[in-house]
Amino acid sequence: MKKPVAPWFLVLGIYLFLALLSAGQSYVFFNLILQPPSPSPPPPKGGFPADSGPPMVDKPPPESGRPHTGKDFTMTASRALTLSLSEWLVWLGLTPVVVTIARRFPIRGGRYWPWDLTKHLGIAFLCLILKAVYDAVTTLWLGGPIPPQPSFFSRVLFCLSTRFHVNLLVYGGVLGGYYIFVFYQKIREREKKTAQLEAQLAQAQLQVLKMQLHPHFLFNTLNAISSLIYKDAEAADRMITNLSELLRYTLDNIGIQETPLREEIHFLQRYLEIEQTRFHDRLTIRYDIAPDSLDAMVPTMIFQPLVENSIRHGIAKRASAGILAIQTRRVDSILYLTVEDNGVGNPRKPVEESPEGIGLVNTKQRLHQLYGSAHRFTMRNLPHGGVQVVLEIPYRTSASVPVMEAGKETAHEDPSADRG
Amino acid sequence: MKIRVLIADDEPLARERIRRFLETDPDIEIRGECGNGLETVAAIEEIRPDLVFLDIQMPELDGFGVIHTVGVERMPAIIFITAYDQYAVKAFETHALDYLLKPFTRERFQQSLDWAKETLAKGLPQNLNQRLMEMLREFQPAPRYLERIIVKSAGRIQLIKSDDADWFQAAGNYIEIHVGSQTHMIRETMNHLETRLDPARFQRIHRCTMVNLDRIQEIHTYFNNEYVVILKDGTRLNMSRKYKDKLNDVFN
Repeated sequence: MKKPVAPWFLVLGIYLFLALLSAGQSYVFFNLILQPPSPSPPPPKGGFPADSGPPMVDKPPPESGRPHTGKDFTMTASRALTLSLSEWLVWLGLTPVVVTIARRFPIRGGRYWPWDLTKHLGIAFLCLILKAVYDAVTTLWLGGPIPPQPSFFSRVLFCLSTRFHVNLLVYGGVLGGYYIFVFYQKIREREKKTAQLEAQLAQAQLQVLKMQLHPHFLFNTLNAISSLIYKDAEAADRMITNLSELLRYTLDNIGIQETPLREEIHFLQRYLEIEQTRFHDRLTIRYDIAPDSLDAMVPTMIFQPLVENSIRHGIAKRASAGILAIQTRRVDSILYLTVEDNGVGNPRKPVEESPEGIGLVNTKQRLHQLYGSAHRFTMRNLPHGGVQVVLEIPYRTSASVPVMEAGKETAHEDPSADRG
Repeated sequence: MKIRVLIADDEPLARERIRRFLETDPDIEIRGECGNGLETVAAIEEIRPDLVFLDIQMPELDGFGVIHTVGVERMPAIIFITAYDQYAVKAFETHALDYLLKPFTRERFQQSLDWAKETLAKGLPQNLNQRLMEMLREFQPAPRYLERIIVKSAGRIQLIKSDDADWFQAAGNYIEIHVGSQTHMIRETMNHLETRLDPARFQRIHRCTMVNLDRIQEIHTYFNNEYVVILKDGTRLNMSRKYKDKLNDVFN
């Protein structure tokens, strides 16, 4: 996953802002409220006694020459800034740690959250101890406004106790910020996914449309008619009628996902009659339609890409006559649609792996969209040559698919809306 | 002299239409009709027409495949025919190649025919092959390798699937193609054939020998830097050192 950079700049900005704010605050506090500026520095004794603790590991820089605390302590603007920056910018380093911890121990919903929150409180406490050690060291080093302490340990304790609430809040802030960020990202991702899905659907529908109007088929048919006119006017006439019916059916069904099998078969017969004329006597068609399957709802124009595939890739390659068999069966709640040809099959590779052309990929996509895992699409080479495609979909009648009917109505009102 | 014409279209009615338009023309002699790409390739080799009406969408081998298999330089004048193919039409226009969109009017057909006659009378333009080649390249940018090899023997034309060939042996200006127990001869140079075949399937192993990689059983190395390729059918072929390294590249 790509690491986003922008959030880190935001975090840096927040810390810088907080550092500036606290620098200003401590400057004002020390110089205007606690200790009004006096022209001459007061004597070193009194108020806070000089730091009497044992020698520290971190000695103050000798060139400063001034004790870190006590009455003579002056909070200069630069010191206020340095101290604040050191205090706040360390959070920049701690933030990834907190984020890592938050990732590692996510706060879960349900009955887990008290336990998860407790874990985080514990971790926060550990973090704050570390932070206190850091504060103790940096204030010693940079000369922070801390009263003299007998030992480093007590200095740490002082830092921990005085800044506990602030640091806990910051810890909580980081955690909360992280969760807000994650939440925001999730929403963005979901939006992106939705947009993608919509685009896919629109693409699929567009392809279906293109395939249905199939310019190639259309122009070849018109060409065949223009040839047929001269030798068999009646056949040409019939071809025009068939083509018109086909076009009407296609236009009427734009955006409609499912139609009764009865209509689908009628459409298929028109289509195949045209194909038979185009390929002369090279195409024989056998229908075997079970009457009890006719009311079933099937995907609109489901047969067309299948038979087209059989004709183009199977039968058209044969020199002798091709036979195309269409069969529909209903077995209990399953509808079987079978298209079989005696063409050349697909000798090069198993057909399952090579859905020929865009048509069948599209068909598979549509079936998946409509039925999910409740369908089966099998395509196999037959032993005596030819290809058999069997489609198994749930048997539903128009009465049992109210959702689709609703879609049909809206499609009639505004077909463009369904095209995406 | 009459112009010998070949009509290639997979739909009988479409061929009939072209024939009807041509029949009345005294300059034209229709020499053949083909219903698929492979038939077309064979017919072009056999009757050597002057002009071919070439439908692009045909089973087995499309119109471009026909040109590819026959070879641009051996193609007659072409009038492309398509029902609908935006890309092809664009390619034809860019390279000034003539085409007909189905269904076409008699006038449009006649225009194309007249243009073809004129071209044939003058002789095919010098840059036609180049234009064809560029159009093919543009239309099919991926390298397309020869899938069938045209073989002429004893007055008949055969198309041999290149995958079926076991090995090739150069003999002067000819190449012997060994397919199982059969041997075919084609007029071709090894260097040219090598460029037309898929290098992932066919490799030169010698200046005069090319082999189908699928058929290799084993490769023997002898101490005097001689290599012998043994095919699955037992054929032993010498391999020169130069090609040994290339073959290693293919296998690695």
